[in-house]
Amino acid sequence: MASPKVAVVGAGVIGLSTALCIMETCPSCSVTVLSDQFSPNTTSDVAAGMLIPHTYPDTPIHRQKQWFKDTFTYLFAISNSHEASEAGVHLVSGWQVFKSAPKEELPFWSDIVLGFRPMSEAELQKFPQHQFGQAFMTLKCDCPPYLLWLEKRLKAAGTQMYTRKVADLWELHSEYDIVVNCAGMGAHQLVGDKQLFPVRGQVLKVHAPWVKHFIRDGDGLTYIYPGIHRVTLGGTREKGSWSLSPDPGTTRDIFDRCCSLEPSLQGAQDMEVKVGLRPSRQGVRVQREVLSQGGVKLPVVHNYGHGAGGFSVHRGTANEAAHLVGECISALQGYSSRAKL
Amino acid sequence: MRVAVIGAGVIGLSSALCIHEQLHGLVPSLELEVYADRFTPHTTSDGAAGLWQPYLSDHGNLQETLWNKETFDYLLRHLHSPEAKEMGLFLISGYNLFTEPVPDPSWKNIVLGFRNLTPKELELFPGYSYGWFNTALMLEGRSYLPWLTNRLTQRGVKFFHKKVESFQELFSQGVDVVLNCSGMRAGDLQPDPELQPGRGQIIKVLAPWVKHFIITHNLKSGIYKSPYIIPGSEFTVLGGIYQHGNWSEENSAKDHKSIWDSCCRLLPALQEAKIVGDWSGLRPARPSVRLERESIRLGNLQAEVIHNYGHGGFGITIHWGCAMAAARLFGSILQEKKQLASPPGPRL
Repeated sequence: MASPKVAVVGAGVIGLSTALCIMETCPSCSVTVLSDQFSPNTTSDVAAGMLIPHTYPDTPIHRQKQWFKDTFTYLFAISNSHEASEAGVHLVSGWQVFKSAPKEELPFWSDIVLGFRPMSEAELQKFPQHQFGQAFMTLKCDCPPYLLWLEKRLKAAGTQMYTRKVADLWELHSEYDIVVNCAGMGAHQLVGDKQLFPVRGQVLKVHAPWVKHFIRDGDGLTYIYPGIHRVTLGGTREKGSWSLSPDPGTTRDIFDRCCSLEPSLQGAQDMEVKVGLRPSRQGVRVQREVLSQGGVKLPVVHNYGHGAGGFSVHRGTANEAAHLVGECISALQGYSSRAKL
Repeated sequence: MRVAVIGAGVIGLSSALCIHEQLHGLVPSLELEVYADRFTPHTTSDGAAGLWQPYLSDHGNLQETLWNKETFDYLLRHLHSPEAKEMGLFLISGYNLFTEPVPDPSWKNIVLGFRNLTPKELELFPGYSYGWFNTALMLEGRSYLPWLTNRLTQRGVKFFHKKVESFQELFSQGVDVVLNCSGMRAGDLQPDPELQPGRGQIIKVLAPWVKHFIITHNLKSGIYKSPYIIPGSEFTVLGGIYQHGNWSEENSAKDHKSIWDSCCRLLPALQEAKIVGDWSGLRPARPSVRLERESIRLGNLQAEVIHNYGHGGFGITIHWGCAMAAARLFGSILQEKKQLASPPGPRL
């Protein structure tokens, strides 16, 4: 197989980073990204892009930790390079605060982020309603810049990108040798995965350039994440809701909760309201599969179901998916050499 | 009781406000006036980035350390007030970088979350092997000075745009007490060889992805001669110039290049930052702050001057502690004047 033709379905952070990893590990591959949405209209564009992992109940912790570590290392290098501002990757420090003692004193990722330590009494005075806290520094990937930067690198490497709604993976079998499914929430329809469910998140993006720190309530519902130009205020976690329309009552509630954590937000300007559906699953599906129909085989690599943790583990899962694509190619080469006998 | 403040930088305006807040109730006849030839945005305080951070060592000057602490605590109490944004006040965290281990600074317990940098964090800064991380405050002069001016105006304080040539000039007009907050130009009012300019130059850039201050130190060269990057609410300040004895307020192309090259080496992404402009200012440097009373005899009258100048590169850092000390000095003047009540009459 001289030049394997790989189709990546999905152009959010998972699709683009997976396509890039495939290009990096398999320079002879011809990679095409197909998606009905590109930045700034993907789920990733709504997300703040903070590297604070979500814990997946069905994925072994060591695997999640490796994904996070790979992603953090990759982005840390970018943040330290001259490309940092174009890529939208930057360091941000801040606090995670708790009203009651956290379940885990040391989350699995505490030694990967920078400077993780409990907050001092003096620091906690800034949060009169909270009794415990953790201070650390992590990375943030601002979107659209990060996605646009990935697209630019893909184009430079020869990747084609097309706006196309793929309704069925089999549509692609005549044009492509391998299909990579990074369809996020779309995988529910595309591959009929009933274990995939939306967790609706509404966020506000405001202009408040004096806010230099992130603040997150340990319950995960209220957070303030300063980006390059806007601060993301959140949020909601509505399991099973498919609605993409902003809810005004929710907007008011998010704003009030964030102002009680950071009173200066009362002076924030230019509010934009956005909604995204976190493509949630008990475990991220990074897996090879060979679909079969009427004697025809279609190798598929799945990489979806990252829920609330897409940015945190994107590069790690993209690496794994690219590795699985490599296995698919070897298998195809095995078939074709057997076919020659 | 007429009180004239000379100088409308952070020292003059905050001293005026502190005195009015604390003593107006006790002295209903208090008339406060501010005289200056430069007002915001043209003062030295307007050009400063506004980061609260004292020098590395207080040289045993515990009084200044206390004033720094009083300022920090005062500002921290205002952080959650509705005024914070208008004051230009917000929390900021960041790094101090060294090429060798150094003792902890006098202010380590004043700021929040002071700690040493981890090896992984130091990877970000090749050439630096030791450092601190802490959370401090920004108080941007361009916002704080207008805020102080508004508070003073509300209180009926009058402002006069003129260059005062001598203390006598004000006393002959009937002023009872002068607060000398003239900063760099205090020498024009009364010679002070200890007061020297510490010229600084900065480049203002747009680099909104930078969320932390980064201050490098070269212990051999001295303070502010090593690159620093301080992100504000509108733009980021790049600096690293301290020229003792240089009175020039003109921007120097050589200094611009030195700042730009050294800051870009520190943070490569700055190469993509858009330059907004340069600014030069003179830090009113002195071995210690001059904060004291001076009685001047004018005929049969005793005129009082309270000096409050020489805050070098830490004016914003120390301003409120000094303002309160100046107010206490003013309080003692008031007490003495009551004891030595002079009948109202013609003045010299």
